[in-house]
Amino acid sequence: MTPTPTLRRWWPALALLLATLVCFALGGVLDHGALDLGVTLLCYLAIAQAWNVLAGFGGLVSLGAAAFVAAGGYAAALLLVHTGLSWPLAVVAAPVAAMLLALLLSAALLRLRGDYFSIGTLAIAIALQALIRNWDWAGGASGVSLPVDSVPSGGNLFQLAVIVAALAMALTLHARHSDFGLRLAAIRDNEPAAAGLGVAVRRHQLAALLLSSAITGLAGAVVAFQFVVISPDGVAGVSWSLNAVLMAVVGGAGTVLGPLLGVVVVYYGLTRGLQNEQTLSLVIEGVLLILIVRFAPQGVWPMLCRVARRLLGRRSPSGRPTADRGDEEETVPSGTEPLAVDLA
Amino acid sequence: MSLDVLAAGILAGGLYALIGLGISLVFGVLGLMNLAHGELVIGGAYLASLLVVDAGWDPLAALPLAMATMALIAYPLQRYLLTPLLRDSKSAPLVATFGLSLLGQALFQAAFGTHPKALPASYADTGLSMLGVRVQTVYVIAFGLTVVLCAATHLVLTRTRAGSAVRAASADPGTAAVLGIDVNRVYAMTFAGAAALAAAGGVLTGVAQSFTPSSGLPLLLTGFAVMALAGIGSVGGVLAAGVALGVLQSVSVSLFGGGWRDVVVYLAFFLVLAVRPQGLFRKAHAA
Amino acid sequence: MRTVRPSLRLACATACAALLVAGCAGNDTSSASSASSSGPIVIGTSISLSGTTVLTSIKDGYQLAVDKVNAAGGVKVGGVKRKIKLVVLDNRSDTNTMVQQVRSLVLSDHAVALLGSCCQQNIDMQGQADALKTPLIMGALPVELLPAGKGYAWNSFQSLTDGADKFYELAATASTNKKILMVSTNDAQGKATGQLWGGLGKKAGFTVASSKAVPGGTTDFSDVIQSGKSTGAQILIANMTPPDCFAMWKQMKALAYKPKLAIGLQCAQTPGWSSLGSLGDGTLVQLNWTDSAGLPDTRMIVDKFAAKYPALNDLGSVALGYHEAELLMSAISRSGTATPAAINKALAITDMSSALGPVKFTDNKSTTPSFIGQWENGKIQQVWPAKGAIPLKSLSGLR
Repeated sequence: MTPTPTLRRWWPALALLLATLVCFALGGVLDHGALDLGVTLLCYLAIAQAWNVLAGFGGLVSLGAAAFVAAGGYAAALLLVHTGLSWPLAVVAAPVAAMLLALLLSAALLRLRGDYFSIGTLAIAIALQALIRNWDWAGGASGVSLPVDSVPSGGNLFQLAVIVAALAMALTLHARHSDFGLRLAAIRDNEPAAAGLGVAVRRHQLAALLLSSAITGLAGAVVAFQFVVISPDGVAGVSWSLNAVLMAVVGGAGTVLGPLLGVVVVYYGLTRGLQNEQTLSLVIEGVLLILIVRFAPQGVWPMLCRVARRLLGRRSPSGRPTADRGDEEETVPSGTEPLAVDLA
Repeated sequence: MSLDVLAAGILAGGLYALIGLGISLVFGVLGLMNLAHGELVIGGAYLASLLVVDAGWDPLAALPLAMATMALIAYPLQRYLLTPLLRDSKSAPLVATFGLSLLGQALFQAAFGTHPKALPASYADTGLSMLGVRVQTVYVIAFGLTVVLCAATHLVLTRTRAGSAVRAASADPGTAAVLGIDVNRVYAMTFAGAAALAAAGGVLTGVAQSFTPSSGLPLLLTGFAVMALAGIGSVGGVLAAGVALGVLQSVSVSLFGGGWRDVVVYLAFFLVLAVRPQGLFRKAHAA
Repeated sequence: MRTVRPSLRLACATACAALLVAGCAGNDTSSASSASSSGPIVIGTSISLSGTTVLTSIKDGYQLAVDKVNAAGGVKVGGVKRKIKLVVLDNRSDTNTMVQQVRSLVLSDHAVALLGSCCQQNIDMQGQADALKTPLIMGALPVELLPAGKGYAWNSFQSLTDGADKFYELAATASTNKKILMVSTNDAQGKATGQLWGGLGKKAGFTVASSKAVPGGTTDFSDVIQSGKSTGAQILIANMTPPDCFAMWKQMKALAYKPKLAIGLQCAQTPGWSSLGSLGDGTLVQLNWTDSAGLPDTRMIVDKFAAKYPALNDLGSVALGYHEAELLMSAISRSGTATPAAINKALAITDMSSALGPVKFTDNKSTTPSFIGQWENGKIQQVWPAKGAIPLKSLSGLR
């Protein structure tokens, strides 16, 4: 049925590699403003995708991304400030710290079901922020300043952000196309059924949690390098958690490209587009969010896919648009769809 | 730790419980995490301020009106906006309530300005001495009112036809619909009820403390903590959880100092959640 | 049909990547105007205009100063008059947004200098100014709290030391047992303020009987009040956000804790204090401006904004914004080239007087006068220094 199975299989990875190389090359071309904006967007992309793997594919809806941004950001910053190691080592330390935090919490976190997981992660993020505020070695409430000259900036920082975002995209592709991802989605849609079919529920969820926090921690290190001064209000602030959810859900949780679109829509359309509107910006953002989830509850990206497919389907000779169920839609959480069939 | 401090913690817990009750109700029946609950609370306070500050009413007289108005506002929100979303995905309603929360803040800012407001009342800053312990009158009133509202909620849920419909819709919306229960209406009624409870909490918060357009978030977090400690489906548990949270705050402040309060409270809260995912005050059986 | 899909996906992916890149590139269109020698000079601020802190009055002060200069044809730089373009971005009280906005102001909008926000945000902004090597002029942060940096952040505002000294001078005129209850929010500003005021209190012959830290958003102060009662402290120094002070004042009254003097740093300045009614009467505040002290441009500020801001303290914030913007534009004029480095050098040799008083920087700080005010019937009035002041009244609200 599929004429070129190998190509089909490697197509997304090739596209990602190509996009990464192009973006990497841009690091030498763009001006400072564009590079800085690029770093911001790429960090959001990495964090939103990490959330997407955990929540969109794994069904573990986290409200605590900030905790892992903070773990990564502070690990990198404190290593630089207190030991004088070079920044590449700090970059490596960031995901390790975030994973250790995740591992430490996993025993408790993974006991929590459904929305309790969300509340649990929220509590962790608040507790961590409060802890850092009291922790003098980590700069306490006023935060720490990184040595400006020994952290990457400009094109180098942009290229680092490109790599981090590419890793996040690769992880999402993996979650989308591998057996691991399929089993993860099975657990999300019907945990008892998945367990009944022999899927190791806890192991898969733990893996998703660890991978997701590693990427989030990496992004945290990039944020720390970009901000240069990090404080509990900033790097550990609740806005990271909210933005991760908003961007992924608006774009399309459980899809590969949705969060990419979500980052552009939320950061560009809402955060920056409305920054001169004051009170009105709250109104517009509120209304837009409601309209988006009301009319595209699976996200903007799946909706665009559907529209595109309908247009293409109409033109196709077979005239069976439904035969081509877009890849993107298959794993969108539905809650009602029986899952075991897909597994067979 | 002195008895005064402990008593203040217990009484503050009453207000926490009142704020948590609405969140818990909506979550228990609709499975919806309502991120706009804080704005429902503050909305109640602002509504009351129209009568109290501008027309000179007593806050307690304005309270029923604020409750009813918030319920009237909340009903169509649930019926025509949130309920249709609940069918589609888990995170879409979450984002929608976040959007509502932003809208609410903007509305308060535009209508009432950004400076903090308080609801003046004779009992706002008077105290009572009971058994040698001195407490703030408004917190005693809030505690009493919370007990009354908890009892009323419990009775409505267990003793009335509407309550059975709510419980049926909560347990299994599909079957309830087959049995002829209008689940959408039940959802909207529940949300309206929760909004009324939120408004009551808001009026008392306004009397005991103060409020600004952005004070919803800390109230929301408090409400979540209460809900998670209480577990789903037990009104008495909510009251107990509120008091437990109040006492936990007092104890942690006395033992570790105020700076560590949030660390201790949220870590304890997380651990309780992890050890007893079904809540502290609920027997471990299937939901 | 199947073969269509990869290309469709590629098309979409490319479209998204293009969007991202377009987003990046879209920003440099606005560039280069500042660098030229005749176009408008861009200055920018990321300030909190919605969310938990709303600083519309400071923004109005910035705009007032810029409008005044532009109405006169602009700032004279190197012999040419150039207009000033002030870019104001609302960061909604969010630190991350502030950092991102400041970076885009400098890197994309090519702002040659920055104006500050308030409080903790100013502390966080200082690091960005240093990292971006762009001068930042701020107020609304006591000068002692400006972190030692690389010299790009300039703070012209009142000092904690001066405020504390004035407060203790005033307190010495009242009859108290000189015992202090100190309660502070546990953020950077709260901690530093608590330590500084405590130390100066000891020097002035007072004792800190009890010192308590509370997280922002505290509503139950019974532990603090209990320690105030048990130590018999008659002077309360509260250094918290307004909502916390509201809750504490109500609870103090209810629990019958009756200090003889109470000052609300950071919190009692809000015009919303009047909604406490008579409970707020007698509470002291530290002011950076009053209309009775004979400061420059007082008349103009009052004439222009008294209708919009009836409260003395909001007018003080307008004056503060006006003051900072005027300092900056004077430095831009003196810089000769309007580059960030030149403006920074020019700031160092500032010697002028503006709405908050005379300015001369040492270690990037310049202290403007402090005043102690007192709430009475919904209004703040200056009670210290004695010049231009009314006499201190008793703390009637808590009695």
